[in-house]
Amino acid sequence: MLAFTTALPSEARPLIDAFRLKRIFHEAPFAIYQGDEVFLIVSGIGAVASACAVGFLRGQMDAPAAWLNVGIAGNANLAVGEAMLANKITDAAGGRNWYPPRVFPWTGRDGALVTVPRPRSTYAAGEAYDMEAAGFYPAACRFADAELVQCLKIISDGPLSSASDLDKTAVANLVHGRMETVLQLAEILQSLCAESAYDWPNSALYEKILRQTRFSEAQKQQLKNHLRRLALLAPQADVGAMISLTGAQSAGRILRRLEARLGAASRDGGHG
Amino acid sequence: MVDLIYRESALRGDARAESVLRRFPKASVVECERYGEVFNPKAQNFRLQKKRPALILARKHRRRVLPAPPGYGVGGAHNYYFSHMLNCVYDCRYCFLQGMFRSAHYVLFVNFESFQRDMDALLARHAGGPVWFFSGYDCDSLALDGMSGFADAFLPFFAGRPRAFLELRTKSTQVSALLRRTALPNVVTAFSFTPGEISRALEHGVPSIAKRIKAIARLQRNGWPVALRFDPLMDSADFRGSYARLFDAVFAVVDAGALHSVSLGAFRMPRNFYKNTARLFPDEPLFARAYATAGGVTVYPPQTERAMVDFCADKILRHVPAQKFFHNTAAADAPGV
Repeated sequence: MLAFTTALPSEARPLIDAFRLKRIFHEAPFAIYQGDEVFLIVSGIGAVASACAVGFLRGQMDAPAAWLNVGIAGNANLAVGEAMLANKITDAAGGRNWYPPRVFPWTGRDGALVTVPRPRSTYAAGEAYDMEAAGFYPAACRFADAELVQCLKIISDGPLSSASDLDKTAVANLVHGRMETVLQLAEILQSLCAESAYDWPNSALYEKILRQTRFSEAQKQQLKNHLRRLALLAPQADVGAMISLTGAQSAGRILRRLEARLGAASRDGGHG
Repeated sequence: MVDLIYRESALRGDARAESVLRRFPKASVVECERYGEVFNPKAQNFRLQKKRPALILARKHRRRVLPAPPGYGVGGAHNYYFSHMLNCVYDCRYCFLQGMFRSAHYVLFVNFESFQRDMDALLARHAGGPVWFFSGYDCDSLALDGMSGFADAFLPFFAGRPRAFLELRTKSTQVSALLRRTALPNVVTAFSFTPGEISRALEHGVPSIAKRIKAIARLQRNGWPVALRFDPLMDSADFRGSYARLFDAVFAVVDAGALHSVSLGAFRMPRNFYKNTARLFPDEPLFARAYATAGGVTVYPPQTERAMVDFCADKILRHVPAQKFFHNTAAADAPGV
């Protein structure tokens, strides 16, 4: 699952088109779009709005996601239209820094991104400026590992090109011009997200047992844990048959049966 | 290997930091104030970061050389440990670093001279007797030596201080910095081993046993003291067979008579670190089996551990005298790779 955030509808438009997203929740406080394993929310301008949008979107999703903020930024060194992955995010208002871990190969540009509370027309060397990342990043890190949270900025203005000259079409064109980079990053993040989600092998059996026998909440955790461990230590064991063969009816008897099998499997090692 | 480097801003212009940076001309360099800003935040996933760790260049400001736990040592009365790096290039599934640190980035503390000043102060405090300094608690001492220059900086220091003993703990074969120099009787390179099948399953990226034995033989031929660390001992269905084959392979080549020491210790990990690590690897059989807890440390059930230790001790003592043999336990724990 991948969740995009943008500040402006014009930043979102190329993503909506590329991922064939449809608007959902028309009455929601934010415009939200959904496609195949992809969500997008348009937050509005500013760090607070961006953080709120992350929280709101997470509440609408039923599975963990990777998060990608895409938007425009000012920079003194890079040409308008260049894409830059943030390797450091600074909140200019609060002075705090974040360092998005990058666990994938990246041949594109990267650099420091400073989130400012108001648009600015002066640019320090080596820094890009936006108005959302310092809200987006810590908020998204509440819901995902930091490795799955990234900010990609497309340079829109600089000392020779004022931000006030940008209209909706120009912004959309800037993002559209870097869609290849966006798609590449989206694929990487989706893959990492899938990798970090553990799909344990006995989950179907777990559901089946719960349908047949009543377990307390604590017993459910024990059952889940026992089945996961058995799948690892005795992958050949037919656990379903083992339980039904005993004629065990109560949760306690099923758990004891599994514990006995786990004890034997533990003695066999588990590796090597 | 490294394409992202974080550097503390105070290290701008630092000769050792610059020398490391020159080794990675294509890497992006990101400035931070203190390494903890990058290394310590909560939301990080050690397992994901291990896929592509970044390098952090930092200074260690305090707690550089620390007392080893009581009871730990290889015969010396005064024992200390230190870490010029945090984290390891290898990916050993049983390693406590995964549970201790939130980040898998490599941290290199470049202020080697500060460590050496601390060691001199400790040598002065324990005037007259030998003092041991164990390296390789939070990292492998030599695996990244080509990048860090650790051996080149510390071997001359120990050459001039015969009362100071250094243990380099490693699973690597990076011994060229030692072989370029005259052997020092007070620098012991301690190689860690588990049997081949366990190493292949659990020690990702670690050189083969054959290559490590070859590195030991080269060091011994050049007069360098070498030690063996069968730590951690890892249980398996064929525990006795796999360890017997390991001991046969090692002692067939290594000059047992010239060994400085041999130690062993069964797998053990502080309970909190164990829980963190098991959460990171829900698909790892190692963390699915049953363990006991003793004094806040996750250990094998006592009978299992006793049988493992007794078997291995018996085999080892056929090759080395008892005074060179040491048993590390959870109670008197060892710095270890």
